[in-house]
Amino acid sequence: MKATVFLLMSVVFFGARPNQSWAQNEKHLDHPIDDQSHGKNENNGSHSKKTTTDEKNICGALEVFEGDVQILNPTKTHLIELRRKAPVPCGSWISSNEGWVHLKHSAGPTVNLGPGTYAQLLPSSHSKEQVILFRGQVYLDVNSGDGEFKVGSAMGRARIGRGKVIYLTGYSEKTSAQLVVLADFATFENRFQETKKVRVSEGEMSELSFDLLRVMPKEPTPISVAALKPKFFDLHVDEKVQAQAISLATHRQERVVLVHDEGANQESDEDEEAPKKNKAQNRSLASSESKSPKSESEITRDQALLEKKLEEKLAPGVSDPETLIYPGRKPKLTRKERAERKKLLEQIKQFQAEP
Amino acid sequence: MDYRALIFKKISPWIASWAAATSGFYHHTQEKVNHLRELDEKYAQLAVQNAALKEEFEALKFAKESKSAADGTRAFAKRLSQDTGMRTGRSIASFNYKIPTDLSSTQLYILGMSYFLAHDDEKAAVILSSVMSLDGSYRTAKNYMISGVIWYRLDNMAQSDQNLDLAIKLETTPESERYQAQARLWKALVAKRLKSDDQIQFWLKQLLDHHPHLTETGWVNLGGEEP
Repeated sequence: MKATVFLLMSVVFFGARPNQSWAQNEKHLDHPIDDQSHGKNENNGSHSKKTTTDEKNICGALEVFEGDVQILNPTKTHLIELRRKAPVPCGSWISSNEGWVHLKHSAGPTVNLGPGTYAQLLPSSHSKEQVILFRGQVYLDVNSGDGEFKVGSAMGRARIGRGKVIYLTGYSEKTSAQLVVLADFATFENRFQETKKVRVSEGEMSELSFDLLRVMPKEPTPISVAALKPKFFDLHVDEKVQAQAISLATHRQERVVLVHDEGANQESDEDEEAPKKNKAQNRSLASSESKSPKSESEITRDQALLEKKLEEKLAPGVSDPETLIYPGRKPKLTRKERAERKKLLEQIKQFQAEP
Repeated sequence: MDYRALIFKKISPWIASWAAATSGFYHHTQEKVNHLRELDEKYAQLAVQNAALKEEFEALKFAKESKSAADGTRAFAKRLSQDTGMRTGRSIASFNYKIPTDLSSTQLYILGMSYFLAHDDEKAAVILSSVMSLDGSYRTAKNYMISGVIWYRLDNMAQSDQNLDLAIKLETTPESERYQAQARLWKALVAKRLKSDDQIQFWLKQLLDHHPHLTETGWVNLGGEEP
């Protein structure tokens, strides 16, 4: 009996006692090792543990993601848990090999990273750029209240005050960068030659490379809608933005010459006046609008009123003042008289036409 | 012997083996769980290490590309500085623009002037250079002066200076006088960009001497007012 009890106790004892490896595992749990996404689902983070991140150093929040996405914390000790609204610390490295990720930066803009992208998120205050793009493509939607948002790559830097842009780098073997502006405008510059910036307006793109033996970005050119569509697909850009961008791109393509210069069609004598005309035509809405010239009907009405006043002044009480004031002028015809005259003229013409 | 003791004696090995087997089963399962857990943790650690290595690789690649871009910018800027006078200067070879082939000289000229007024200077420079080289009737003081302004805007001070010189060297006529005065003023501005104070003074004096009664001179000479 005693032996049975002993054996049963030993079974209970051996079964419940945590062994050495378990204790070691508990120690491991002190270091937060979070899960990563390896699957194709958004909710692929079941084994994750919550990280302890300092709220002051949060640079953004994860909105939505899909596919193979990893976010490594700045100290490279753990991977950030991938879930909606997960905080992303400043200095985090975001990698989306075969997936895409949408983030909300703490400064306000929306940051969409496409496939094959590697980027770092930085704070607004202490860095020249808020997003450093190591390679790949990023879509940024900056609103007017967000302040100037900067995205940089190895060679170029884009500054966006308000607008929707796509920034690409590492798409060719040579070091290069490309800025596509979908709405509003942005400036583009060489990181190592900041004195000259190129303004890129909506529906335009600019490229920076040493192919053309220049240190500045290329002059902005209209973007093609066919080239835009794959980018929209990769970056999961909102459909409304897509429609707006396509409309703006088409509008920009139709605009061949920037200035509508009527004066330039005439020869040199009139050229001096042409800038004045253009100045008036290109007046921005913010400036005060000049008075438009009076229409013909308004001028006729004013003249009739003036003549009436003059007649009252010069020949008061006279039944036919016109003959008195203007003796040489032909008398004004009434509507009936004009119609009769017209009829007569037509009859004369017919008469003349007959052989 | 008591029958109970006899029964116990008979079944005790069975109980012992059962107990041993049971305890072994529990022990084995826990080991398996621990093993799986260890593997899981190792996998997570390897993922972190992999991500960190990837970060190092990308950072190194980025640093290399940055260095290459910085060196390239420096080298090109130095070369441009020699060719154009400015580090950001652009030459006609660096413009990725092709002139429309189906337009006459007059139409091209109008197009070029439109681009000039719209500050689309690269296109204006290409068109105007082409029109002036093909058709001699466009080689006037006005057009040379406009070309000078375009190249000034494009930071190519050497080309701007050359065009302004050509505008000044042409015979002075009542039509061209105003443009020549403006060309002298632009020469002073080019000298300012090139930080040549002597040249600024020289060209402003030239403007006052050659065109004392023009509006452009009035911008420089404030009618004897004390500064």
